Amino acid sequence: VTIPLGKGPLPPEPTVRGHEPAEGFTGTAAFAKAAIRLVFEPVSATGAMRAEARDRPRPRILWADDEAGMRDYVRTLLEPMYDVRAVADGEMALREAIADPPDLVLADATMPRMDGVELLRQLRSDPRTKGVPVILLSARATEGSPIDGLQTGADDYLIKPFSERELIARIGVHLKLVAAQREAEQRVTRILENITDAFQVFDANWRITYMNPVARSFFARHGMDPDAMIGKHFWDDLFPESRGTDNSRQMDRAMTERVPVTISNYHATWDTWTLGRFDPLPDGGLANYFQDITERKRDEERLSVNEQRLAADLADMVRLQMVSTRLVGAGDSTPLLLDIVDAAIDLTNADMGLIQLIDPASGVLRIEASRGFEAPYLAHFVTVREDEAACGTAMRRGERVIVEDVETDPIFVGTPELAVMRAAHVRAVQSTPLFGRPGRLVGILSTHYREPRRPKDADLRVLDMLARQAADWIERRQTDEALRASEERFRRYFELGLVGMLISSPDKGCLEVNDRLCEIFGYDRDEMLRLTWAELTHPDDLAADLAHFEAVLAGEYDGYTIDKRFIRKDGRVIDATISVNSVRRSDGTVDYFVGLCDDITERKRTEAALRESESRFRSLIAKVKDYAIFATDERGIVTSWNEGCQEVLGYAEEEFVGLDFGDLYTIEDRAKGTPANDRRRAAETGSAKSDCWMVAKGGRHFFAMGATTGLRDPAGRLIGYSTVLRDLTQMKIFVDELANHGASLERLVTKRTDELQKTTERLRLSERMASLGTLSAGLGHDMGNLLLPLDIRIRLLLDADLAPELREHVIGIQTCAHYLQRLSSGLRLLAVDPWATPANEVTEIAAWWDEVGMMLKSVLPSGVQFSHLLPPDDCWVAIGRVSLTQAVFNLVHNAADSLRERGVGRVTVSVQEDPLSDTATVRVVDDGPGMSEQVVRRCMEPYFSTKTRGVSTGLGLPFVRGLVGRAGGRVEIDSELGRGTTISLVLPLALRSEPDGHLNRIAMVTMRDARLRSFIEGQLRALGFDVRRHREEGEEPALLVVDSAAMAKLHEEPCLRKPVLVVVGELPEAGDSVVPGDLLVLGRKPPADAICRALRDAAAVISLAHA
Amino acid sequence: MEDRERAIRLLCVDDNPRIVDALRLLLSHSPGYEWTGSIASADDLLDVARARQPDVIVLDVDMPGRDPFEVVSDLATHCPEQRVIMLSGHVRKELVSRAISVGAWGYVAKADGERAMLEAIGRVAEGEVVLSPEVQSCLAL
Repeated sequence: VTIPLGKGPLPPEPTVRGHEPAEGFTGTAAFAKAAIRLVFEPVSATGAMRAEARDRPRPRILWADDEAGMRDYVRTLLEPMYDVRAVADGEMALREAIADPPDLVLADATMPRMDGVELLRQLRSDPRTKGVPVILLSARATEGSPIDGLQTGADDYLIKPFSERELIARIGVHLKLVAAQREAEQRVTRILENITDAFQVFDANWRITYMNPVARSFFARHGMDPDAMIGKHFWDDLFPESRGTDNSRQMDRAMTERVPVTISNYHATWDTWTLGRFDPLPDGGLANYFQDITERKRDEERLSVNEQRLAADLADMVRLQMVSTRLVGAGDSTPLLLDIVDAAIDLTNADMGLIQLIDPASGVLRIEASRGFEAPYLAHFVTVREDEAACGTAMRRGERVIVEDVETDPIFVGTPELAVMRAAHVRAVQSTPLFGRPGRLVGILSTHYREPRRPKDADLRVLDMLARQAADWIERRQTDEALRASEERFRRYFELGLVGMLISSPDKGCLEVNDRLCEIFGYDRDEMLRLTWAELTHPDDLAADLAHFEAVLAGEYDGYTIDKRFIRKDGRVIDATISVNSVRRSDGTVDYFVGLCDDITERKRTEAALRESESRFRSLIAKVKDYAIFATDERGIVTSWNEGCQEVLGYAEEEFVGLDFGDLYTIEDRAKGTPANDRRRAAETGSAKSDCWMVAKGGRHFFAMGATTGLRDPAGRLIGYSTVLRDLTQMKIFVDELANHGASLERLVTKRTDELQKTTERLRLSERMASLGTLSAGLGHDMGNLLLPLDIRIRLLLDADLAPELREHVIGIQTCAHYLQRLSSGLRLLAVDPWATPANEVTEIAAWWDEVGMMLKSVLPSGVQFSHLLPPDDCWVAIGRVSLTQAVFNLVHNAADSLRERGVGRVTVSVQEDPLSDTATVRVVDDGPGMSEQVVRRCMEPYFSTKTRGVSTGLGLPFVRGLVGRAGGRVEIDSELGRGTTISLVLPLALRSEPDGHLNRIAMVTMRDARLRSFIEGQLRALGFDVRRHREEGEEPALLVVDSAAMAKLHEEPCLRKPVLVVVGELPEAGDSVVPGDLLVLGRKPPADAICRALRDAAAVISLAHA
Repeated sequence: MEDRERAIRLLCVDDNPRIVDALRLLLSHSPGYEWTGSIASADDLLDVARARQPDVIVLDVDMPGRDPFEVVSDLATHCPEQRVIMLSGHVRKELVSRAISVGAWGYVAKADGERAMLEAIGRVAEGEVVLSPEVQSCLAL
């Protein structure tokens, strides 16, 4: 009996097996039944009382009475034995009881708000309290009252006044009953929790009141919530769709007629079979235990399917055996083929059929036997080529082809065959290939249908077996025929007389000879038959032949071919090739020998002459070294060698002979089929020239100039090729280079012209600056010569014991010297060609100003005030120090010029950061005369100047614009006559070069030259590296600087992460050196600036890799 | 320099007497240094160096006579233990690079002052290559 009755179809005959439990309910059914009895059948009080547990907590009693005196009295009475909760009316009692069900309820029958009878009714209707015993007390002393009370379902009824003893005794009895029942229930529950069947309980209203874990997991498995199912109506709430089915009627019968029923049910939605049993319970409900029998059902089904298939196979075997018997009984071949067709028609329930065999000569299918076809059909399909119609398709595919409807199948649609099929009323066809033993196709067996259809798989299986038998038989028959034919051929061949033939007995006598043999030996036939071949043999060659002959007799092999000499009747010696084969009896002994004898005397003579001339030729070409000259056979396999092959191709003779000429071609040429094409060309036109890249031994490519000539025998048959190759790689390279050289020369000229143009432009702009630079450099030098002694002497003075007044003077002088020093260092920045500095430099404004401020001020006339306004430290702009200095120097210089005449004024240099636009603006502001609109428009043009010749620097602004533009910035001019001039350089802010804490800056320098090492270490520190000389534990350097010797030893101390490697020196021979991720090789004795550049590049690579 | 067993011996090569005098004065007032004299041209430097065995030679870049870079190269080959500091008013990258390439141990700009000079002599004697601040910043350009 299964609980969920699905919507799916029920099995044709729902099993209802009356009162007996269904098979499969063995142990668990017995348990369950016992459990049901325990729970639901009346329990004897005495037995239950014994079962009371000693260690139970004190029973709890809920006591309801509106009369305060009575309430207190009873409470006082009961409290020594029980926990008593006393309440004043039924409502309060109900609330308390539901919130925390007591072990027993004692209630006055008459109370305000809710009387005892109503309280009882409410308690019974709630599943939480329905089992709690209730004792009603009533003051009504009417006769019928106790019975009324009991009728309401109260467990007991006491009438006031009652004796204390009676009350205590009644309470005691009911509590013990409850305890016994609870214990029994627990025991049952424990049993029910542990049985392997699902178990659930319905009350009389089809509500589920209990489910054991198996039942719970069953429903949970099917997506239902077991907790939510408790208390639900089985039909209304859970399975309304199952109402009205046969199984549901059986379940109703169990409920209403109180009889046990067993139900097997299929739930379609869950695809699940269950077998279950419903047993009526004493309380009016039902106990239901069930099993999920889906797997068992499946197994049964599978078993049944297998049985059916076995039965079908057996039937097929019987049919096939009958056909086979018929085949074996058949005699002549054609009727037998027809038998096969008939059997196939029979096996596949077809209307017509035919068998085709492959014609060995033409490879087409030819109809050999047919049934049910008219002449026009047979005429059309008398021969079928591969891929034509169904049988041709089966032939090509090597597997059965089934055309279920010729009108729609692509094999026939749109072909002339379709009309023929229609005329023969064929709508469907199957063609089964017939394979002989080694998988050779011998024919096709087809059957045809008048209606569109597909043969049954079972029929086709049997057809396969028939096809195998048929193929065996056909092949056997063909072999027999072939044997007959070959005997025939042998006979004809024997008589044809192209070669001499002899049939010899094992004792060397001649049994049969042909005319040609007689001719070769000069005897007539009768004489020959009296001789043995041993007598005819040249005595010197007899032993060799006899050895073979004996070996054949001994069964070591069946035949042999040798060249030997015979002596003719006229005494002449002849050369012959003989080929001997034995024909053995069934016991393996030789029956007779068949010998073929070819007179090769003439050929031998010709060969000898040829050999001689060839050897002369060979010795000639063998000495040629610059040309590889060799011969190949007609397939291109090399047969000869000369020294040139060694020179040009690198092959020794034993390596070269036997090689495929095609292997000398490149992979690309081979893929294109060039070797075969060249041979064909040589064969067709006599010779083929080829100038192409070829491959010598070991894969070396060389450019070959070659010619291949076809070789023919005197009869004009192609017998091979002769090839001459020369290595022209050097010449090819030379020619290619020459061509390349021309092109690159042209590119170079274009490039140089471009560069020259640019340089000229720049030169024009900067020649004035350059002269300034020369001046600055000279000045710097001279100032240095003065500053150093000055500095030293001031220092010595300050070290000396000076009077305080003097010391003050000296310190004043020192301050001036320091100013001079800074001025000189600013000048240095003017001495450098800014275009020669890297374009991606950055400058920190405050540090820059320290360097150049003094020098800029020195440009201004003495009456002009100079002020500056700078952003706080750490303002980086994306322009180099030199460029920025020279740009600002020009602007200040212009400002100075504009103010020179007036002699007074103010020039301000300010730098302002604008993080929003990521720019910094450098402004040079003067309060000079300003510029007219026209001048503002033109002032960026080169050589435009407002100043008198000789005074003007002339190219200031265009030069500034060039420098600023190179850095990605722009120049803005704001000027008006009488209002002064402001020139702004808007420069991009540089990315802050804050040291990255995560960036590995460890550099290791390993080199023998201590001076160079120290220099490199200094430069690395300037680049922000931590410099190490030795590897420290666990440290992975980001940069390694090594000399060649250290490079060679790098592998001894491998780095986990590949560092950037700078090699000061040459790279050692490849081999065991470690090749890192990034490698900069400087070569021997690199100039210092090359080292600096490499280190900067390495640092950039490291930062980049980190980013 | 305190832990050196003996004073650092210095030879000065400069045609500018102001520089030579100043350097001589500077060293005579600085403990741990010994003045071995000066010559006004690099022409005989190899012989003088062999004779006087200075530890450090301060060589002006801009002098008449033999190309000082060639002289440095010769010294590096024949007297490798005598280390040359080039002293110059011209601080140009190619000059610095060339000096290091031919074997100089230091390059000091005259504008960097006496402190830089004295420090360079001490550190070069210890086996370090020293570029004065202005020289280093020029090399970085």
